[in-house]
Amino acid sequence: MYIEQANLSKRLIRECYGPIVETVAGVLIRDGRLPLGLLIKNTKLSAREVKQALVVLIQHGVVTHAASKEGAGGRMVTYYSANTRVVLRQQRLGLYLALVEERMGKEGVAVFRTIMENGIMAIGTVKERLGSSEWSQAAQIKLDAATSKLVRERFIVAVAPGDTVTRIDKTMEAEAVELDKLAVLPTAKELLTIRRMLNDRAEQEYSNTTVVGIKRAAEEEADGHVSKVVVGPDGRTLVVANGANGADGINGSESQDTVDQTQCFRVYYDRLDVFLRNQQLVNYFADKYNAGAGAIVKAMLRITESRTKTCRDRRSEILSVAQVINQLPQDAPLADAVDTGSDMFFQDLAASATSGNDTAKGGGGNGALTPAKRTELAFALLEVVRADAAGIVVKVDDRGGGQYQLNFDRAASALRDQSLDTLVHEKFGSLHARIVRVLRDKQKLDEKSVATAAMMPIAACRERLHDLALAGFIDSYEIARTVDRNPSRMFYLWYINPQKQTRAAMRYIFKSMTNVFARLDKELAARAPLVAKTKRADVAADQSLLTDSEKNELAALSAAQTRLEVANVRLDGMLLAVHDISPEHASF
Amino acid sequence: MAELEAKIYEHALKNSNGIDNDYLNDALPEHTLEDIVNGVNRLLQSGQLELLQVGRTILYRGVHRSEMERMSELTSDERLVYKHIENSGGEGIWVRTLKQKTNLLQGVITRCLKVLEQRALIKSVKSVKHPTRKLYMLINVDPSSDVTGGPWYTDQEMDSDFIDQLARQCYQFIYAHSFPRHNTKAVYSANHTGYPTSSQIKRFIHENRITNVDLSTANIEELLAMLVYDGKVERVAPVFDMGAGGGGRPDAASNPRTDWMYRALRVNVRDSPLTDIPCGRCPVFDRCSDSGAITPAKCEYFKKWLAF
Repeated sequence: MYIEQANLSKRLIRECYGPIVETVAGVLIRDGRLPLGLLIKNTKLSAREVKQALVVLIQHGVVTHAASKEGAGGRMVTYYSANTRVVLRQQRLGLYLALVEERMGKEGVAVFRTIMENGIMAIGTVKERLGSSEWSQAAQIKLDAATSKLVRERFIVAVAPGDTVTRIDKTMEAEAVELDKLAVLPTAKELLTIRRMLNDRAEQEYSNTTVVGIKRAAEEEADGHVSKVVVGPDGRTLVVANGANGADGINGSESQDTVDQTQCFRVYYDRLDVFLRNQQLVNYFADKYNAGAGAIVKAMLRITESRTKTCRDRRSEILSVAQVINQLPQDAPLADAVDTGSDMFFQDLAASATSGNDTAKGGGGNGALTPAKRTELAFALLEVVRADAAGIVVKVDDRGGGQYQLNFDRAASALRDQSLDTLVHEKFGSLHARIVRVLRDKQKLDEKSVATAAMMPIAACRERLHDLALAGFIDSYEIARTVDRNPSRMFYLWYINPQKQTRAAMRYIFKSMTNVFARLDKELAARAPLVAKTKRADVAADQSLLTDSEKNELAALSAAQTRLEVANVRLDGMLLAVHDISPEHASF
Repeated sequence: MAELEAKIYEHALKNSNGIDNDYLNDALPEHTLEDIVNGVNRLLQSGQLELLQVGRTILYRGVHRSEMERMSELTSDERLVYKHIENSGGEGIWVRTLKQKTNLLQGVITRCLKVLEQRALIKSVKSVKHPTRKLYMLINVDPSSDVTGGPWYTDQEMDSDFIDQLARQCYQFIYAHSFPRHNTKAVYSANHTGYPTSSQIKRFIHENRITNVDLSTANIEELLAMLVYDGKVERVAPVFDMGAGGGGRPDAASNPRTDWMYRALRVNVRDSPLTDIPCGRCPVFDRCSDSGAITPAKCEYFKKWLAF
């Protein structure tokens, strides 16, 4: 835990939940696991306030609890611990809401927002809050469809009572249960076996694709067809959908799912990070090649989205070329994306893929492109992204024109390296960035070899190496030439330690975000009387009551606020690229 | 005997790599081995022949008259030092190494070097790899590129301007061949083989007389590696000959493509979120905190940035 991370977390908690909750969370972040008594003592608040604050924090997943036996009497003491990872997500809420609105529509974002604001909530309660009982039937059906889509896509997940228990305590408890089965004390090997088994069990649970909290509600009619009332294509009228022909534009499976109204749900932030990561990946390819390459990768990621749970997944499912081409939107910018140069290779592939399929519904889309030409260009672009040096898109087989897979491990590394290289380039200069790339490529080198590879004078190279080491972006490794490890007779090799590099960048990011918040507070505080004046009823009704200088001040405040908030969002995007999307660091 | 010695001397001069007893036996069948060996010994004593050892083989090499005259003026220590310097060739030899090899005292070596320099037989050069060391080599020998640093060094200093200009020319050439001319937003397909190789870039530099300095392919590859590390260019794996034996496998017998190709990357102006705000370039970032003299609330850089 960095002090900068702790400061930023406290600042975010104050903004979301207020000063009392901030005090309680701040003590937990600073002191670690604490029982209630110590928490009350350290916060110097009343017991009631501390308990209320803990309820809020547990409700929002910031704090978890665990009971353990203590003392000779074996009394149960509950310990509370804070999870700053959840707190830091608060910075991304705007992005999450935009993402949900884009995919789920207004109804979906209304449900999502209500659950997000309340931490954990049952769907029935969400509907009460939204007042959906007073809506029209069509609107209610749309709301139900959006809710079931949110659950099915895992944007919200069902909450079990054990979800608020600290994870490590659950693991220890499970281990204790296994150890109790043994007659004698376990050997090291047995203990390792038990831990591996528990780990595998946790992995299986993670890989479980069952969606909790949703059930199919089908009504069969006498003739065996399933019919149901669904919203028509115009979004307002209701039509009866016959199971034989379905309703136009409505997916039959969506209308069959019903969400359990009494089941509590919470927002699944880790799942939403997948979409943010995918967007960054699309931008990576679009910047490196062109919009067509970005469209291909976007299509591939779209197919994998449903099967990718969180950023922990290292590989995607295997995709066929046909799937990718079918997923491409009609307006994908393929026409000017790649010059195949009348390459027979791609023409033959396209011909075999589209044989007998010339009247496919994709015909005529994307300007004057025929389906065969479109397929040819898609093939060519797939090969271009596959040949990329980062190795993100991998061809696993040649069946059916080719089968591809996305390697998210390499994707996370590529995005992280790009982010850090840009940071070093902007902060220190192009020559420092060159040294970083040399070390990343060549692993451990002494300063002479670095100077030779980077083509710079050795004195300048030495200075730059020390600048980077001071900032934490590179590290040194000593090899002694003598037994007494005399420093003057040692080899010093420079290398890049990715974990240390990430930690250095994260410290900068956390501290900068805290500074931005502090500056925002200052800008608001400096104009607090003016802001209070604008909230007066008479001024709110008639803006002409403000003088010109006051209006200018308000405009300046708005501009400053926008600039600072955008800066924070960008910094958070960098944090995502550098740390959160890495499979090692992504949580469940 | 003089005639035999003259013949032996003539054979030794003809073969600059040295001759051995077997060669002389074959070349002079009319003389016995004993006579030949005696003749060799006399020539060795007079300094017209010198001994070489290659592995376990003893060879004799002829010493030219001019060299003999030079060496005759030198003492045995000076001759020893001279021989070691001569053997180092273009790499030169350091005083400490000389001391290790000759086992002479430091003062003796210093005196010998001074005499040899005065007689214009050796010279001292500085190495770019070890700037504090003085290397000695024969006066008529050109220092190797390891010592001078190659084409990138001028007067023992790295010529960064020259390197940058040359790199820029190479990058422009690579960029012009990396994207289709009719549409610069497009990219070539993965099978494209028209990206420039290091030999093509070398030819471009030579034909356009971009520089007078003689550059080898290895030098060009060093420059291209620098461009790769700058993130401007990437190396593309060579495409194997598709016509070689089917299956696209490389066949050493039929003109394999071993040159790496180089492709320019689109350089998009990208700024880091950290350096976009004043904190990223602040000289007192580490001393900034919530309280004290340096705080975000009092920060002048923030004030200017927000007013910009």
